[in-house]
Amino acid sequence: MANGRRPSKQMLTLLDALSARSQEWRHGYDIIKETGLLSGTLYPLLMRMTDQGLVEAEWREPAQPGRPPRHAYRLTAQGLALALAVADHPGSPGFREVRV
Amino acid sequence: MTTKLAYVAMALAEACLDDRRRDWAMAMRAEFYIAIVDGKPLAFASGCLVGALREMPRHAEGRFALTSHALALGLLPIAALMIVGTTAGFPFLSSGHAGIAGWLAGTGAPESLLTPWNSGFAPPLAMLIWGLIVGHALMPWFILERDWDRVGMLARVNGAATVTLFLFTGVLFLDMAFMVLPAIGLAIELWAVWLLHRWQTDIVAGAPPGPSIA
Repeated sequence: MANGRRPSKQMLTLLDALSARSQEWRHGYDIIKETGLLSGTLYPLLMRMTDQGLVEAEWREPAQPGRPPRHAYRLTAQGLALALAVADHPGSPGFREVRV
Repeated sequence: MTTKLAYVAMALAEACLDDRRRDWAMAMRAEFYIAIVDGKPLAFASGCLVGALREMPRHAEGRFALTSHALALGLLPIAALMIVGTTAGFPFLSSGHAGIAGWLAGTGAPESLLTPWNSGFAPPLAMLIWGLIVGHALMPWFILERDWDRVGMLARVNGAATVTLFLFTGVLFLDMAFMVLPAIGLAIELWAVWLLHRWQTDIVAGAPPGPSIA
C-alpha cells in the first residue's frame, strides 16, 4: 500500500509476523522459520520494504563469539501503520488466510 | 557435499546482488551460518540464489551481467559457423551454383580453387583462419571476465586477421563471396563489444564508492 497497490500475500504474512511483536528486532532465519516464507521470497521482500521505509534493519552483535554480526529487522512506524490498516481493511482477505 | 553446494549457491547469490545490496549479501551470509547449524543450508542458499537472480533485472549491474552472458552465448555461433565453413573447405572451394547456403549444406557441386600457383599459400591461410576461429572463440570468455584490455587486443587481432584473410583471398583468386561471413561476424562482434564496454563505463561512473562484492 506504500506504493498504492494491495500488498502481496507474502508481504501480508511478513507484516503480520513483524507486527505481532512490533518492538522486537527479528533475525531473517527466525522469520523464515516462523512464517514459512522461503529465503528467496523473504529477502527481496525485506529489501523492498526497507527501501519503502516500512522496515528498518540494523546490525546486531552475534550471540556466540566467532560468528558474524546478524541483520535484525522490525517494522517502522509507517510499516506498523500499514500492518494495522491492512488488518482492518475489508479488501484484504488474504491477511486472514495467513498462518502465524 | 550438500554443504559445499550450499556454499557455492550462497557465493553465487552474493555475486548476483549489486553494490547497493552489499549489506543484504552480508546479512544473508550471516543467516546462512545459522541455516548450516539448523541442517538446512542448501534450502536456504538456493532460496537466496533464486531471490538474487530475480533481483538482477532490477539493477543496472544485474542487467549488464545478464546481457553480457547473453552476448557471450550469442557470439559463439560466429566461431561455430567458421569451424563448419572451414571443415567444409572454406576458402579453398568455390561456392558452386547453390551459393553459400548450398555450399554449407554440402550441395552446389563446389570445385577446388587451389592451383599449383596458389596451393603453397594454403597452409598459412588455413592457420590464419584457425587463428581467427580461436580469436572469435576466446572473445566471449574475455567479455565475461570483463577484461577489456584483452577484449580490445583480441578485437584488433581479429580485425587484422579478417583484413589479411580478405586481401589474401582476393590476391589468390579464391572465392570472395565467402568473406561475407567473417566480415559480418567481425562487425557484429566489434559493435556488440563497443556497446557493452560503453555500458559498463556508465555503470562504473554511477557506482557508489568502495570495493565491489561481485
